[in-house]
Amino acid sequence: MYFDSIDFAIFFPVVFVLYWLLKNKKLYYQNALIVVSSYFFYGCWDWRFLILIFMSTVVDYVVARYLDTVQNEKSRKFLLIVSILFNLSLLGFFKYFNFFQDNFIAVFSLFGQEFTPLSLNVILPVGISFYTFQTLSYTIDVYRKDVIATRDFVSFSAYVSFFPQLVVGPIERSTHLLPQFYTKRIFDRSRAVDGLRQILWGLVKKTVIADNCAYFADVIFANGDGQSGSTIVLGVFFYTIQVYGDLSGYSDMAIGMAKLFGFDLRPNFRFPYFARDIAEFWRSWHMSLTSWFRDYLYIPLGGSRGGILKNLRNTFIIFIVSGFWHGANWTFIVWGALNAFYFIPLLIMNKNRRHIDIVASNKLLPTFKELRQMVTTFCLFTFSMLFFRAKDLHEVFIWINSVFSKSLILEPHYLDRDKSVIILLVVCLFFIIEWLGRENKYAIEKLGLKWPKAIRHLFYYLLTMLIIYYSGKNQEFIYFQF
Amino acid sequence: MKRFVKSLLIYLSPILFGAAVFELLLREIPNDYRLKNGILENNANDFEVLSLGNSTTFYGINPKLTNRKWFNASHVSQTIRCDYEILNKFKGGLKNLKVLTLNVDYYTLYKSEQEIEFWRLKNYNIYYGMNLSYNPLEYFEIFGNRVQKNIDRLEYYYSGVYNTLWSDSSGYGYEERRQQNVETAGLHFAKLHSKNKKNYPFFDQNVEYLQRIINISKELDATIILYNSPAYSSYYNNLDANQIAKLKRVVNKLSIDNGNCIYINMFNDTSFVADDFRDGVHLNQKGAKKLTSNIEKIVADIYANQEP
Repeated sequence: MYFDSIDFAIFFPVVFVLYWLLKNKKLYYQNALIVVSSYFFYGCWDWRFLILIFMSTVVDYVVARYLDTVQNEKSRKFLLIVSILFNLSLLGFFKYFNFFQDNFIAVFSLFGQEFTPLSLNVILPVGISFYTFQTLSYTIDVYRKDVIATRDFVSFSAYVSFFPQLVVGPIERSTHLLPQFYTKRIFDRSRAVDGLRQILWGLVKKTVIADNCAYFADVIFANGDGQSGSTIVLGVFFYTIQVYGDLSGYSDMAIGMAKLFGFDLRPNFRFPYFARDIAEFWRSWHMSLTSWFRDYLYIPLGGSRGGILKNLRNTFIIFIVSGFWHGANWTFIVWGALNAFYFIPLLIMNKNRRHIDIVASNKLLPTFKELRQMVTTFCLFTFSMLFFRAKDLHEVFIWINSVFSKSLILEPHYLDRDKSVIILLVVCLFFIIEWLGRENKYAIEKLGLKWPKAIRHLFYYLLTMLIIYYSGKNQEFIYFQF
Repeated sequence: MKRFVKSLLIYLSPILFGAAVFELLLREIPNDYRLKNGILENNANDFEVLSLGNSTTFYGINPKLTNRKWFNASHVSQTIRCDYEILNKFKGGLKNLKVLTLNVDYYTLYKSEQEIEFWRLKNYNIYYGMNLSYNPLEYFEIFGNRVQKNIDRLEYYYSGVYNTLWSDSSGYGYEERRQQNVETAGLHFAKLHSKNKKNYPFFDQNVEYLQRIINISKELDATIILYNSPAYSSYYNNLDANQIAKLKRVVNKLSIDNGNCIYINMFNDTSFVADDFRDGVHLNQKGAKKLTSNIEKIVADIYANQEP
């Protein structure tokens, strides 16, 4: 059940109405409703995977309870390892089994050893990378004594399975989201309207921007081997926009829905394509994941303490792990490494925190220098997305060869090229709106609030019509596979 | 809360109203499903020969080339379950039915409507008045296609640019579609129809539907001709041999076990040449003439045997 499907358009209002009908009952009932509806939502993909999410919930709940009572440091460490091993085993088996097996066989074949692969048809459970990270963070927080282990199993289950952010995040922290399940939610109209507005913008990103760009990216990369350099460049441009529209659109919808239920989720994107350097980009792209890696990997590894070499090593590790988190393929690892190479010069020159303010704040247009910086950062990231898109390294090198050839100056050729001009114009319009709203949490948060009511509503209707016009055939959210 | 819900409903009401109008306009567009349902509802009693099946029958059997009271009730991508449902719905009216023909092709027993263009299911629910889906959305035109496509459909119909009916009053798909290269198109269809060939989750279910069709034809005292449609070598030679063998074995057994059942294998009938095909799988009008004639001969034999 996708957020932009008709099924979900029926499911969500039903849950919403039931949820607020329970507002005068005990909090327990509202939380229980969230658990039931979240399990239903997740079960719509494949009910068998409900067992995984349930097991993950039970193991971390129990481990955390023991962590709270056990004082012996060795025992506490043991319990933490149990939780980490359990969650990473789930992830390792379902996501990385085939990858490790294939590479194991490839390495041994170099030494003349032949192995017959185990033909396990492992299906990747939707969103497993997201909820395992969320439950892991809880156990680690309890271990660190940043949070007290909960005794409320229903609230904890709701925290793990909260359907707006269950399958594609934002990855929440127990310190932020879990306490919200203990407190009474009061319906706030202005907050709910804000949530609806954010959902609307998220749907625009997904159905209008991402799905249309996906079509042209697919058309181009389906015959990627024979394409000219210019066509590949256009293809990866469409793909880069698609990924942003897809994931940030989903995040906006998730945050908006959470607001309708009276919850506050962490922001996940802060206009990353307006970043002036790659450090700023990574501070504003998939923020819930990058901060997870920072807090639970980079800092435990020593962070920036211990000299520049250690800092470089730690930075490199989190980029590689982040790449690997995205998929069990060398292409993702190289993608992570490439971004690390972009980032490391800034770190060495101590310029990684140069741009912490909002670009061209309080100004309508950026300076030429800012524009150049933004375009450069966007191009660097777009180039790395060739690795993100490719099915293997061989394919990406064919594309790169094509990009750095004379065919780069040829006119791009692909199916439905004329139609893509309209989409490119829509993408331009989209980025103008994003630019105008870059000082807010999402682009249309405050856009039009001072306009006459009729004009503002007309604007919302226009967006709604665009969503309806481009809706119908759901394009899978890219991040579902992660 | 109440104010919020009220405002939201007011905001959504023009959209919901527009959707209802859109649905009604889409349903006004003439289509083969409504046409065939109407013909069967009003004239089922007239027909002595009925053809069921998918696109190979839709474009392959032209009852107007014969002098018989024959109707082609097939549709593009029609599954064996839908064949059964149509027969089951109209069996009460098919009082004079003598022969039922049904193509059983390479993929017929291996796919369900969830795999083959599942969006067509709504046509059976809406225009045949069947209840084939649990999903309520599959009872609406507006959810069957992308909004863009539905707008195109309305535009085509109301501007009169395209004919929205592909079949004539005998049910034959007369609308001549673009001739393709039979070599490449045949290969393309072979790949398309062989997807997931190692996994046959619907096989038993489809054989069950086939048996039910045979049972109904017995009830109606009609002979059933099961046939493999002719296919061009570019298609046939690229199919999975095991799957074909299994299909032939099962259909052959059904024909032996059921006295009213005749099985004809025309898969690699060499009398059908490249010139007879539109795309390696579907026949053009010339090929349809040949196929109709072949089937008609068998029908004539059945009639001859039935005469006292």
